[in-house]
Amino acid sequence: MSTAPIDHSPPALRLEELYFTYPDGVQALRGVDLTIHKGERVALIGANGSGKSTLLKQLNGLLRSPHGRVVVGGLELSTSSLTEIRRQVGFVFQDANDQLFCPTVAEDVAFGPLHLGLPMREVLQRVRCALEQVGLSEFSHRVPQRLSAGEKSLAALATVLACQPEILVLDEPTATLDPYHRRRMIDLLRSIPVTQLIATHDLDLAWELCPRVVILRQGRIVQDNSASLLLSNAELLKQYQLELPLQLQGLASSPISDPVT
Amino acid sequence: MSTAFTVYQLAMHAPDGMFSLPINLIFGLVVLAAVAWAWRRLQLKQQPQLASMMGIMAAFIFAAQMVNFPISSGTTGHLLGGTMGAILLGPWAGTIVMVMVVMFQALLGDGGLTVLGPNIFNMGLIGTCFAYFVYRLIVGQSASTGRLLTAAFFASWLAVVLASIFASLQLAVSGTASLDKALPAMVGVHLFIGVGEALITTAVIAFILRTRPELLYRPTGNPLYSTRPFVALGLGGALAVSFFLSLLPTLWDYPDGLEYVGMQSGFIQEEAEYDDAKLSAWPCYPLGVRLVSEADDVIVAHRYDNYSTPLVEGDRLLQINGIVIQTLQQIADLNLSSNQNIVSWQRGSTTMDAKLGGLLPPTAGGQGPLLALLPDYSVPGVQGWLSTSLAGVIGTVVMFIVSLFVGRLMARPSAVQLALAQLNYDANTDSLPPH
Amino acid sequence: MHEKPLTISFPPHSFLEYMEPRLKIVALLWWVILVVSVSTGDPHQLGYFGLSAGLLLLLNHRLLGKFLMRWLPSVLMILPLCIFLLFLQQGRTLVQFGPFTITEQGWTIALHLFSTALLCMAGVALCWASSSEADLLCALQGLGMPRPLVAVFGFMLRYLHVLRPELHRLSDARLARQIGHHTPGALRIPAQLIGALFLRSHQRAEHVAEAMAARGHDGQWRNLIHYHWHGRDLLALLLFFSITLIIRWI
Repeated sequence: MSTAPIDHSPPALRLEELYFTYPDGVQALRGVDLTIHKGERVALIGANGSGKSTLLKQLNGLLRSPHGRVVVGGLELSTSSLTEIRRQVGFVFQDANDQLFCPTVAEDVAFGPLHLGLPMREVLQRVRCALEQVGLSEFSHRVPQRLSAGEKSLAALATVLACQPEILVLDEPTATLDPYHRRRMIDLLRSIPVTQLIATHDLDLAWELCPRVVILRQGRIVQDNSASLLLSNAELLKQYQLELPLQLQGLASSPISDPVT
Repeated sequence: MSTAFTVYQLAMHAPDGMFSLPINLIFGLVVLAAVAWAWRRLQLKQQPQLASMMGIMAAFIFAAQMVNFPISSGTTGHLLGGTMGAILLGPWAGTIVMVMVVMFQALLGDGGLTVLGPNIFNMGLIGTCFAYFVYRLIVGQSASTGRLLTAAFFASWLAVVLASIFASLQLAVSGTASLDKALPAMVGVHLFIGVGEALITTAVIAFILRTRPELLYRPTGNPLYSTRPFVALGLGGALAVSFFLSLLPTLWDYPDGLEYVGMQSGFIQEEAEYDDAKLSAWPCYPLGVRLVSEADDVIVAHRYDNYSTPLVEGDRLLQINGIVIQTLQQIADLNLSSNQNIVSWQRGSTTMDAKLGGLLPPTAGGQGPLLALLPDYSVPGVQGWLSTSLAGVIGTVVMFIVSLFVGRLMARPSAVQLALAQLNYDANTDSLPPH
Repeated sequence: MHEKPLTISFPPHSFLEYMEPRLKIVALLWWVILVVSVSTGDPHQLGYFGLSAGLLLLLNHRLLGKFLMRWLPSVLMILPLCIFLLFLQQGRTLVQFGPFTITEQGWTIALHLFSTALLCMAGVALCWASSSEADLLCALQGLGMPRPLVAVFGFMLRYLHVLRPELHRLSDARLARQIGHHTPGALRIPAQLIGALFLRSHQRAEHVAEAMAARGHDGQWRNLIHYHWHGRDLLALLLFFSITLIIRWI
C-alpha cells in the first residue's frame, strides 16, 4: 500500500473496503483499498476474472459496493453525488461500440457535454477540442460504424475527454488495436495530464506509461508498487499468472533503469 | 419463387396502395393508441436505460428476422418476431420495439408508408398484444418450463394465423383481393408457416430458459398485471380465431344461404347473351343475386359487382332439392328460406353439387380440401354453420394439443445435456469413497 | 459565431442533399399520399408522376447509384406480391392455369398496385439516398416524434450495424462446427443462433446503458443539432407541392 500523505489537498481517488458480489454469486471484489493522487498514472493489472472491470465500475457508481467508500476528489459517492462524480470520472469502456451509440461521431462526443447542461457554444467548442486532441477532426460527420477499430477507440476516448474529467478510467484501451493505433493511443494518454487509472493486459503499455502498478488477484490488491520493481520481476509476475513485458524479456535479469521518465 | 414465400411476404410487408384509406386510418389509429398505451406503461422517463435496451432489442428483432429457416423443400421462412419480442421483453416494450422495426422496414422500402398502420398491426401488435395475452393465459402463475414453452408455441402460431386472417380481411375490405380467394390462400399457407414460426420461437425461448432464464420477462410481483384481463382477452381471442376459422369455408364458397333469401324477393326473365355490359344492366337484388332465365335454363350470378365473378359461359342452375329447375318461377314457387336446400348446378363443363351454405369452392378442384384441417372443413353428421364452427374449434384444440406436446418435448434436456449431466454425476460418484 | 452544421455526412452534390431533412420528409409524405390517391383506372396520371420522379432524379443524377441501391431491392420484393395478387380477384377470366385464373380485375389491380408501390418506394429511396441517418432522425424529431422514441430509433439504426456482423460471426461459428448436412438440427441451428444473438444484444444493451449513465445521462435527451428552415427550402417545397398538385388534377 502506498502511504497516503496527509496533506491539504485530498487524493484524486480513495477506495476503502470495497466488496462486490454479482447476483449469480460470483465474488468479484473482496476488500479493496486504494488511494490515487492527483496526476498519477496507475496501471491495474491481473489475470482474467481478477476483478479489474468490476473495480473500475465502482469508481463512478455503475456498480455499488454494499459497504465501503468511494471518495473522488474529496466527494464521497452516494446517490446524491452520483452526477457530480460521473462528471469527474471519465470512463472509457473496453468495446468502443458500447461507447459510440449516437448516429454520428460529433453527436457522440457532444453527448457528455450536453448532459452537463453546458451552453451550445461551449459544447461545440469542446467537441472540436476533443476531436482535435485525438486527431479525428475530420471525422466529426462520420457514422461510427464506418470507422476502423482504431479510430473507434480514439473516438471513444474523445467522447470522454469532451467531458473534461478529473480522473480518466480506461478499461483495456489497447486490446483491439493495431500497432499504429496502439502507439497513437499510448502517446495520447501520455499527453493527457489528468489522473489516469488504466486496467490492461498490455504490460508493455503499463511499463511505458505508468510509474505505479497495482496487481489484482481474486478481488484483492496483492501488489501495489512502482512499475520498475513489479514489472521486471519475472518470478513475481508468474505467481500472478502474468509475464514480463516483451520489452524486458530479452534482458534476462540484468539491472534495468527506470523506464518511466 | 414459391407461393409460400410470396404469400408470406404479402402478410408481412404490404406496399403503398395495398389497402384503402379507411383501413389505413383505422388501423393507424389503433396502432397510435397502442403505442400511447405502451408508452404510459413503460414510463420511459423514469427508466433512462430503457431507451437503449429497446433500441438494441429492435435491432435484435430486425437481425433475427434475417435468419432463414426451412419450411419445406426449397422454401424458407423467417420470423415475424412479435410474439417472441413480447415474451422476451414484455408486451409494452415489445409493442414499441415492433413498431420501430416495421417503421424501419418501411424506410428500407419493405412495406409502404401509408399502410404502416395495418402493417404494424398485423406484424407487431397481434403478436405483442393479442398473442402475448394468450401466452399469459396459458402460463398463468405457473413456473413450469413445459407450460411456458407450450404457451409460447401456441401463442406464436396463433399470431401468425391471425395476422394472415387480418391481412386478407383488410385486403378484401380494401377491394384489392376478393375474400373468398384471398382468405383461404393466405390462411391456408399461414397455418403451416405459423408452425415454423412457433417452432423457432419456442426453441429460442427454450434456449434462453436454459442459459439465462432471468432475462425472460416475468410480470409476477407487478400489481399492474392481474390475471383476469388476460384470461378474458385470451378466451375472447381464442373464440374469435375459431370463429374466423369457421367462417373460412363459408366465405370462399358460393352460393351461400343468405343470398338465396334474396332470390325470393322476385325474379326477372330476360334474354341473355353472356355479355358483361348487358349483365350489369340487369337489376340487382338486395344481396347481390341476379337470376336470369335463358332458353330453358336458369342462370345464377352472385354478388355481381366490380369484384365478383360475372356469369361464365355455361353456368346453369340445374335443380334444387331434386326438382329440376326450368324457369325462375319454379324457384319462386319453392319458397326457399333456409340454408339447408340442396342445389345442383353446373359451371362450365363441370357439374357439382353444393349444399347451400356448404362446402365446395366456386371453381372445381379448388383449394378447399388441401387446406381444411378436417375433411371438407366440417364435422360429419353436423350441418351448416355449426359444423364449420365446430371444425374451427376442433382445429384450434388440435393445435393446442400439438403445442402441449412440443412444449413438453422442448422442455426436456437434450441428449447431449443428459450425457454431460451423467458425466458429472459419474465424476462425483467416482470421487466419493465407496460405501 | 457561425457554426457550420455538424452532421452533413458527405459533401452535398445535389440540391436534394442541401434540402432541409424535415421538408424532405413532408414532401415525401405528400408525394406518397398523392400517388396512392390516384384511382385504379387512371394509368396516365401515374405515368406523369413517374415522369416527374424521373426528372427529379435526373436533376440529382449524382444520387442515381445510391437511389438504385435502395430502390431495386424493393422492386424485387414487390414483383412476386403483385404476381400473387393477379390470382386473387374474381371477374372475367383472362388466362387460366389449372385451378388458378388470372382475371381482368386482377390484372388491373395488380398492375396499378405495382406502379403505385414503385412510385412510392422511389420517393422513399430518393429521400433516404439524399440524407444521412442522423439527418432523418433529427427530422423525425423536428416533426414531432417524441424524443425517447427517436432515441430508440437511433439506437436501432446504430446497433443494427453492430448486431448484423455479430450474427454472421455466430452463424460462421455454428457452421464451422457443423459437419455435413443433417436435417434434425435444421430448426435448432437458427433457434440457437437467435437465442445467442439475444444474449449478446442484451449484454450490449446493458453496456450501452452503462456508457450512457457514465456520461451523465439521466433520462433527459438533449440535442446537438437544431435545423432552421431556409427561404429556398420553403420555396422548393412550395414548387414541389404545386407541380404535384397540377399533375394530380390536370
